[in-house]
Amino acid sequence: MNLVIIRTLILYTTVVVFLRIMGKRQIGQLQPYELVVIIMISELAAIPMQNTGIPIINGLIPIFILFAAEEVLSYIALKSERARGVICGKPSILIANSRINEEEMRRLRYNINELLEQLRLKDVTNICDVEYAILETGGQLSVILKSQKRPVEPADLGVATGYEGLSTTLVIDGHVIHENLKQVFLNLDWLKAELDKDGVTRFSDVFFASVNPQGELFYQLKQS
Amino acid sequence: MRMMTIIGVILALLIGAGYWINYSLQEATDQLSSQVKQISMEIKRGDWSAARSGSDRLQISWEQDARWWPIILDHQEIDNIEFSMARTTEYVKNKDLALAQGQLSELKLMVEHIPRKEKVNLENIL
Repeated sequence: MNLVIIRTLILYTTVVVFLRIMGKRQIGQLQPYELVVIIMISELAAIPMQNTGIPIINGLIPIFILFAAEEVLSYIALKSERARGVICGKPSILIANSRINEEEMRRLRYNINELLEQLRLKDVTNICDVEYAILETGGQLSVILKSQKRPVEPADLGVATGYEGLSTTLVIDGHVIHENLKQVFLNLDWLKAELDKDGVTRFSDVFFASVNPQGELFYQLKQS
Repeated sequence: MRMMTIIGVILALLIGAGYWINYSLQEATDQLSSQVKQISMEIKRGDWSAARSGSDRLQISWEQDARWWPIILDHQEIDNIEFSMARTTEYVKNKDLALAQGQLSELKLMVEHIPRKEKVNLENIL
């Protein structure tokens, strides 16, 4: 029993470490060769986890080899444009100037219902509005609407807009993130003074606090 | 690039370790197999006391040489060899010619099967 627990922890840690090194891409954005690695790794880890008769190394080595193969393919794909086309495939144009590319759809075995479904998910109900629809190598459909059907942007109206930037998190669950404070050129005294204005005396009472690029502090206190 | 170097080094180490493991397995099983053959010859000659001490030596060699085998081999296969070895010892102790010879033959096959199964060749790959 304890053996199974230890083996499970070892294999789980190994899989987490390798997947962490492999990158941050989500399942939906994986390239085909990456998806294959994910599926195979999960299977490889599960077998020696439940069967103590199989040496754990028989699970660990294939996991490492798959990881290595995936890294090498990624490296080759990164360095060579031609290899990238072979390994990852190329994006396919399914709609060009509102015309569905039947031949490409047939080649990809992508039916019209799937195309319409993907368009609806992008809030497009009329193919006439689509300038281009491109099936990306990761399987997502990118939709580029005709210029007259695109939502109006401030630039279209000639309206000047200010810089928005990103808010920076300063406190999470009562813990001040000093690194972030330093990054936005603020200090603990400033944070304390800002919280003092509303009668908050202890950082430990703050559940979350952030500051926007305009220097305005947002915070929420802990419930209990 | 650093990742590629690390992967390359680990791969080279793994391949090296693989060859070393195959070599060590072959070496150890050759020795065990010759010991089994020796016991069989002694039984054929009717020298049961020599066969018995040979069987004890085989047990000691097995414990020394095969200590690390469970790290890389299927545990079931190792258990089978251990069971067979225990049966052989009993048959030799009781001077049962037919059963002892049969068991020794099975033991020899099982021991020799290990490096054959781990060898890098087309048959095993496919």
